[in-house]
Amino acid sequence: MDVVLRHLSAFTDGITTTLELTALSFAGALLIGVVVAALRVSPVAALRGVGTVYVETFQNTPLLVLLVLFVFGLPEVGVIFPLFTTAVIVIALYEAAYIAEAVRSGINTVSIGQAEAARALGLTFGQSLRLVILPQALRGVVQPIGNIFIALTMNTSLAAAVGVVELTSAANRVNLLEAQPIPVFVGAGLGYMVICAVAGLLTGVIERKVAIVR
Amino acid sequence: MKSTSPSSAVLTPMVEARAINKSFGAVRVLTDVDLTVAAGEVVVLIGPSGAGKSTLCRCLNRLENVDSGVVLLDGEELPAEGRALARLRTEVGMVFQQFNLFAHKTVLQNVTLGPIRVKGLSAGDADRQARALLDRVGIADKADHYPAQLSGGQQQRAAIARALAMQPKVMLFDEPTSALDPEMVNEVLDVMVDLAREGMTMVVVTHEMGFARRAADRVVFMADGQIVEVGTPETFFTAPTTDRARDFLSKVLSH
Amino acid sequence: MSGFPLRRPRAAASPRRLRTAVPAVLAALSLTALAACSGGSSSDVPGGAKPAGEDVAKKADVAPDSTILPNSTMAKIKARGYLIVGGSQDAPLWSQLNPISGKTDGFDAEMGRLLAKYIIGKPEVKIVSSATETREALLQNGTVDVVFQTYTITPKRAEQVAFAGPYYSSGQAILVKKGAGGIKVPADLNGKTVIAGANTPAIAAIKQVAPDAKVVTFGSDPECVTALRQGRGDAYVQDQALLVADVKQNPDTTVVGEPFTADPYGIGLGHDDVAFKTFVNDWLRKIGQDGSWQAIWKQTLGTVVEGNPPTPPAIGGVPGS
Repeated sequence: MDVVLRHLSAFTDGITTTLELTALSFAGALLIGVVVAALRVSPVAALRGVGTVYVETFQNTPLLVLLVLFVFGLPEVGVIFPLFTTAVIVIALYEAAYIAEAVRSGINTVSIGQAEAARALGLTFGQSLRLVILPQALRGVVQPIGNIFIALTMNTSLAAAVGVVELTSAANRVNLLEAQPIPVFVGAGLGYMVICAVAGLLTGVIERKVAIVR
Repeated sequence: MKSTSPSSAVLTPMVEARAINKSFGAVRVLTDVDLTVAAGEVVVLIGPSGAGKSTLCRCLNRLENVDSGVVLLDGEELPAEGRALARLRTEVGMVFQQFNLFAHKTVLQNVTLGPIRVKGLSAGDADRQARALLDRVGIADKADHYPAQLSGGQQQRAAIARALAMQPKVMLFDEPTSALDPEMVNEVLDVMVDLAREGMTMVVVTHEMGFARRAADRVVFMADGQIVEVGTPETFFTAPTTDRARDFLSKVLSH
Repeated sequence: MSGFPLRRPRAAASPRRLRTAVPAVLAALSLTALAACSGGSSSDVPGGAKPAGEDVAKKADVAPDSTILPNSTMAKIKARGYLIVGGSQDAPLWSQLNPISGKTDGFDAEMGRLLAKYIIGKPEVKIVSSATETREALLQNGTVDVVFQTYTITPKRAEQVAFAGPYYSSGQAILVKKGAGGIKVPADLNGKTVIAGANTPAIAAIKQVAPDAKVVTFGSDPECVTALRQGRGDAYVQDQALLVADVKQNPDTTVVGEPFTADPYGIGLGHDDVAFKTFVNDWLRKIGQDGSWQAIWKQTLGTVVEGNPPTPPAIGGVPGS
């Protein structure tokens, strides 16, 4: 393991980038995902269609393909973002499809009666969703969203393929110098494990905190 | 809420349903139903299961879309969709069989949500009004409890308070006691009787014949998606004119 | 058509390069047709195909039985009937899968076939895709017999594996967009964003000559060139032979100066297999003398690098070998 200690700064830089990539793209995914879930339960058929197309598109395209397309394709039409920004956008768009489906399953667990009661009070569809349905739907899907967070953390390693020096990429570079793949990648693996273990614990805490008395 | 007395407002139809038709798929549930409820009037809808009572009640605030026909509220036609409908719905309170309280909010928050978000009341005003209403329905001490911590009767009283908080012109009750254990039925009916006495315009779908006798101005008997007989409780329960009503009453009153 | 233009089909079969795979396959098809029309002559095809009938491995020597020591790695390979090589399928000129013929082309790929012929008597090779992350482990646990993968000999790596050779002396050079200016010598890379292939020796080379350069890596050579042309970096550092090929395809780029490193490529072997290392080194000396080494250089790297084949480097001439 002293290989890892010798290159500690490379590893900590990598972990920092991985954490930034994870946090920013997760925040984006959560936001987009909730909006897409709202589209999918909208009373307007066209909006439901948009939501469905979004989810089907991003769930059925490999993340690596999306990353390469955005990184090398967008500049061809004159749009060029920094690599890190591109990776954040792509991962957020991709994971949002999964968040949307998790949130939608949560929405389906909230009784129709509560939605009717909200409408009967005079709340608009948007208000019912925001004030009554989503707060309950989200509490019910803390665990699945936690799992998506963990998957997202792992998926950030694909950003290495498009030039972002996150943990996996950093490990690769160290290994090029040291030629000791096993300790180097065990080190990187431990980094991911720590992030995901903390995420798992937090998920549990949040789930207990927001649980609804039923 | 105590301002309207039955005698003074009887000329204005508060709710008017004209030629309502409604099907669920191939099943016709309402056929050419007309119903007029005067301001301050208490109308009880009774009839056998599947008669269309609940559907009619839900059509009155357009929770259920009608296939044809119009619903007028205080002279104004309810639109099919959108914000205008949402605005008019604030004037119609609704109480459901399953209470439908918001599970993630306390009783107090359930009651203040509409006034704050829809009517734009300040949190303080909404709070004071809500506590007064909860006191009136007898569950002031449950204000900070969550719905799941309440008995069925308490939940239904909270739901009534929630509907009243919007200061509606009319209250719809869709089988409000059907989901309750027998010992809790009266605590809810008592609140409803008080409300009726105070002059609230009410449409009540119920199987509680006692309530109909005590509080109704008119009883509307429905069967097979149509209104079959209308009368005062006195005449309806003692001298029904149709065979269907007689048949129905013999079944529900024989025990 | 016994051969195939080495330089053109850039795309490997991996999904990330599907985007370029379709045009590449089309280009390859049209080139094949072109070559067929010109009666098999390859002179008009850039990066030319191997002249017909010149399969170097076919007439290459086979080791005398006496050198295949009993119970040695050589004996094991011979008994198995094929050589297991850790290598790439996506390194143009070195070891790249030709999606049409299904054959792996390039200098490293040919070296593997020559070695297989020498041990077994026929050029039977199975390539196990190894990555820079895995090749030491693959050698240590015996999954592969040898690694041919532009594998730079370094003392650090020599602690984990053994190297026969070096068999080729490469050098890293700098590619820039034509007319970019500002980068004349390697030290000019300081403070610049420099593109390199992920897991190539270029990364370390850049750090050495320009510690303040920001290195951005991409998975494959075509991606790196695209990134350079799209302005994601000021320069691209890569093996000179590859860059020469890149310039031919992308005339808006140019190589700056001469290679600034000497990267001795070695053949990766199990760490303690002294007999095998001696055997492979003897074979390297042999093919350097009988002209086979030069023949495969001409067919591969020689298609983009001008001039005569260089002299093979001295065996054991660098630290770690």
